[in-house]
Amino acid sequence: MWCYIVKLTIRSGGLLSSIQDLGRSGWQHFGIGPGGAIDARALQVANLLVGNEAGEAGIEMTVRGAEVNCDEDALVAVCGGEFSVRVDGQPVPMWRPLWVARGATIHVGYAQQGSRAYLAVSGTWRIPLLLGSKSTNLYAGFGGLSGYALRAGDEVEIGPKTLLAERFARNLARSASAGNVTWPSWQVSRAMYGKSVSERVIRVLPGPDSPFMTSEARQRLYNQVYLVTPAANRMGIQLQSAPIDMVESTEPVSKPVVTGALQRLHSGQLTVLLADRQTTGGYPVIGVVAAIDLAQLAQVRPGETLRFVPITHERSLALRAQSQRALRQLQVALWKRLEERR
Amino acid sequence: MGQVVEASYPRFTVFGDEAILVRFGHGIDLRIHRQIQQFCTELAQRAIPGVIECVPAYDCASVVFNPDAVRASALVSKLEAIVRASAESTVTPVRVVEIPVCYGGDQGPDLPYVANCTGMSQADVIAIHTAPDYTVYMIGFAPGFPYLGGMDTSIAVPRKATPRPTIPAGSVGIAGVQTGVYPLATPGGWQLIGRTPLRLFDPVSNPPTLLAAGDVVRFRAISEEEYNELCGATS
Repeated sequence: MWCYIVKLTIRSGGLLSSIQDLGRSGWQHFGIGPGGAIDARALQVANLLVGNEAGEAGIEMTVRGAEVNCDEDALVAVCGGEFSVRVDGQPVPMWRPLWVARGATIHVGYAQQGSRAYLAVSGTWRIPLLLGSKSTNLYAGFGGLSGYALRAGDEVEIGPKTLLAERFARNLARSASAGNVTWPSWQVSRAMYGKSVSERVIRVLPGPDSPFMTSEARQRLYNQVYLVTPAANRMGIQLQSAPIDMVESTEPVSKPVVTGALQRLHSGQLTVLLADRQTTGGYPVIGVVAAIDLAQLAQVRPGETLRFVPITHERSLALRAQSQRALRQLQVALWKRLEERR
Repeated sequence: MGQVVEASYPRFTVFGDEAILVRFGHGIDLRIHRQIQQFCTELAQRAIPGVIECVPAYDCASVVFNPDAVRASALVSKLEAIVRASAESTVTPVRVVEIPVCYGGDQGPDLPYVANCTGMSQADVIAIHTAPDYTVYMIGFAPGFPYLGGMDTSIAVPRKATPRPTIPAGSVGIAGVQTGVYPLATPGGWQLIGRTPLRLFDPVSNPPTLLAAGDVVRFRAISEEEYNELCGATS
């Protein structure tokens, strides 16, 4: 039977779950930040796995995931940090397309590693585009489902699937001997996505206020260890370290900021800005995390440590381009896989 | 104004992978603000492929671009030409936006405090607050939040010692020599002297915010009746 629309019912929203795509571009001059998935890469891979465009919406979950019921057969995938995922109680793998039967409940439990996971579901999410995006802006209270984090009872409609995903799902369904879930034997190479290391190394470009660091601070920036404090959310991550001191003591006026900006607070401590950041800030910016390493930052947890190493603009751009190529190659490889008859 | 310092602007800094920061001077200055407005207008007219937007601030603007479409070095030379061209262009037209405000009462619970603090009557505070043309130097902090310049310092008062956990959207406040309007219900330490029924941010409107950098704002005192009427009309 053809099932065009899947209704997802949220049984539990977990710690903080929200609908996110790749965010809003071009509205910062109105004070509206980009937002979108904090680990954009994980959302993109999850979407490709279910035959969607990489930038389709999905559910971003934080540390403790959500429980979601599907009222129709669906093709879904969970990517991101290492979370325990179950379908109707049965443990299922991440980073693979999963066929789930009508009525099945997907339960994303605690993160064993990392802090964010993304649930993609095959088809177009029936969420109104606001300023070009379906993303929830939790701070300004708009987008997604009325601007709020997901809670028990919320419903989202998704569909129709692409023909490719429909065919793949039906092939998978046929091979399901019993039970409400099945998946192919292949998976995406984990080597490409996220590093499971206790001390992350984040590559940093110079910032506009880098010249105003003391020479001691310049030495220190790349030689010390930073502790991730509990003050970490979708807007940014506060770090703890020996202070980074500035030469100039005068207070700068507010300036535009970028995602990944390393802001130096009055205390000398650093904050890294993430996707739900404000558009402007009054603190000096002494570095910018290279785009390629934002996915790693998205997965850090309070209590973990990280280090910074310098990177040049040329190298950062080359890595960014390489990462985009890898995503396109993955898309092509997945199309082939999804087309295969078993 | 040291000539030496002036001569070193504009300064271009590559800001991460996807932005270039263009600095036009230092600090809050109407002349610098107008230069930035002319630059942003000129940049928008050129429609350079790969340029996503220009985010103006007090003394600088950030040009956000797609590095797949244009190289930072190539973009900087184009921006240099635009700065030169925009310096010669005529002043960009200024939009005047009138914001009706119900001062005092429930809408402005701190008006008596401001009057006390400055040794004026409440009516004087309102008269002084509604007198000037305020310049929107930049939008930031929250969607549609204007950084306004031009408040008479005679009504400057310190922030509240303890911020309110939530203040309603549309609240008009004073903090030090700054005045502003809150687009969203947020916590805040400003002294609230009134409230506007207008929506400063509405994601389904085009444009989504009432104000943009470069606008001129005039506050107009309205009665509580008119406030309620306008609230009914906008909801």
